[in-house]
Amino acid sequence: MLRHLLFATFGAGIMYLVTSNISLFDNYQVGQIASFVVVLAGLSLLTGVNGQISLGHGAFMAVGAYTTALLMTHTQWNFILELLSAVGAAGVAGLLIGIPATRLKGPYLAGMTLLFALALPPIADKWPNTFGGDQGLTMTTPNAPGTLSPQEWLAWIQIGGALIVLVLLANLLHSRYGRTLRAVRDDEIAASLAGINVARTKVLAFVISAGCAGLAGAFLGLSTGVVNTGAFPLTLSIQLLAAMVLGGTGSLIGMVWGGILLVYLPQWSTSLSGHFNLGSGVSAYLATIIFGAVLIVAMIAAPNGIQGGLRWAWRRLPGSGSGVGGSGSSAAPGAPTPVLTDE
Amino acid sequence: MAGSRLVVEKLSVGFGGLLALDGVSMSVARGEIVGVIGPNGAGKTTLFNVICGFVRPDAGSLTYCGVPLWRHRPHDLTRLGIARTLQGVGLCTGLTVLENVMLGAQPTLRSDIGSSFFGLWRSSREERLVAARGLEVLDQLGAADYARHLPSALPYAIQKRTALGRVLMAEPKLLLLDEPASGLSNDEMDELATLIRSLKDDMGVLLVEHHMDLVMSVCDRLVVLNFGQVIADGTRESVRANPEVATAYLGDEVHESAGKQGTSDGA
Repeated sequence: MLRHLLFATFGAGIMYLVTSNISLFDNYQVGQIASFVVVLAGLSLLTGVNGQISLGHGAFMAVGAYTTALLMTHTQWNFILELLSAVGAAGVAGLLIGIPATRLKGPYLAGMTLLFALALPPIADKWPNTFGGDQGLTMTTPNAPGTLSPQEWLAWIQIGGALIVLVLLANLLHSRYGRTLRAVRDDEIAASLAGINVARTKVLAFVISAGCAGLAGAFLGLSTGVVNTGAFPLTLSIQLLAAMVLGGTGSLIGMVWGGILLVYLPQWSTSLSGHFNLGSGVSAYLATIIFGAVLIVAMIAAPNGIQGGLRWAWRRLPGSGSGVGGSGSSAAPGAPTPVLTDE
Repeated sequence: MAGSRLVVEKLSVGFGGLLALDGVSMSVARGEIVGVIGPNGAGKTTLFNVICGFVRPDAGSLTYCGVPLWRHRPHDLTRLGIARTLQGVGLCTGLTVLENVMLGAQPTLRSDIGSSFFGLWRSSREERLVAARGLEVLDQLGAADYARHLPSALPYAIQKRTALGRVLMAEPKLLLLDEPASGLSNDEMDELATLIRSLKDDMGVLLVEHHMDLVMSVCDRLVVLNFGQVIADGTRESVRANPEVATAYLGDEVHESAGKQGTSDGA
């Protein structure tokens, strides 16, 4: 819808100013944030809007990354087509996981998706000739147009992709499908009596969410230039879930906070451990530890995540209406105030 | 039975060793309001669950508008023109009152996922139309002021009306109301009775209810269940006069005769 497009254009304008005024390494990181926003937005739709948990999104990212890398190695397809194939392949994986998932809830669903995240990487190890083994497969970004640096160009592809995904998902959440997804989350019996095919809706959420993860996986592969089995460990899946919760479960725009945390928290923790001369055994896990700690604090202080906290603060501002602009959906469960004017 | 909306024939359902429904036959005609009453555990809700496809019958048949209803699933109901309210309210807590009502129109919506993704005119125009109709229904129910609120913060009566609004959005031919009056005050129950009577023109209504005031004021016909069997089927007066019903259910009202028969299985 128009509002979402305007918001995205505004975001693109800001990002243009940002990317052209920062260093190349910062561009690389901004691109990574954008990639994480893509997967987190899909996860937020699945968990926050549809009420299904997934600890396997790192594996969906791997599916997308390997798909694009394999196509780059063996074919001469159009770059856009290679990215869309990542979405498609991960979407199919989401279909395969989503169908049995309709019969599982809460911790059981978490367990099943966890298994998926654990079981997928060894498959790539099993056939090193196809998947490149430890070295992995190389991924190359098309040449940058004009005088643009490759880093800036890649960041632009990733930011553009993230904005498109956000606009599409925001449109979807404001359509009848958004209502259906939320109804299934809230009350499956009431939803089915309203004529909603609950199982199909849940599978649909998984497919869309996995598709987003696939695109994000391909984007991250482009950032590092290589995709290997070590790039998508189980901790990634768990950190994704934590970052999604911290950003604001069910919100789309809140996922920007989640992406920022995913990129900068490990960096901060590394400099922190260097500062305190911690051993390598500690520093390797410090990021995960900090993530867990921040998550616990956030659950107590701001249960609706950063975006939920901001929304709450915005409503408290004297003279402001209760709606927040942008494409953030107001579907966070247990939103602090009952009145929703954000359409 | 040209005008019949629903015909239930010899329906039996068992849970383990317990026969929840035992050869139940009954019908609802177009424009008729049929009340299903009976003590707790008589099988009323099981009957609803079979009609809705939540529970598969062990024997017997269902006929809806002259067509056999067989192996249908709950989400098929609204497409067929059957709508049901749930005991309690059964609302989606994360959806506003209006969105809950709009949910009722879900199966009539035609916009595909593509046009929803791209926010095309087709999808957004349909959304605007549905929202407008949802507001109309809410207005009719006197709850339009609450359209943008979340249901959990609202008075119970408003939540009940929202649930009713959702089934009305589906424009059903057969309406199943499961205890619509529970938790309502007397005034609210009177309003509900007026509303239900105003609905029945083109609809068959099947009503499960414990409030005898509402049942007696609204229903054209009563079906009385006890231990999974139909023990009476007829007008309000005939059911009221039926001694078997009095024993099973209305025992308190005809104190003398109930005492003589000496059964107390109506709990």
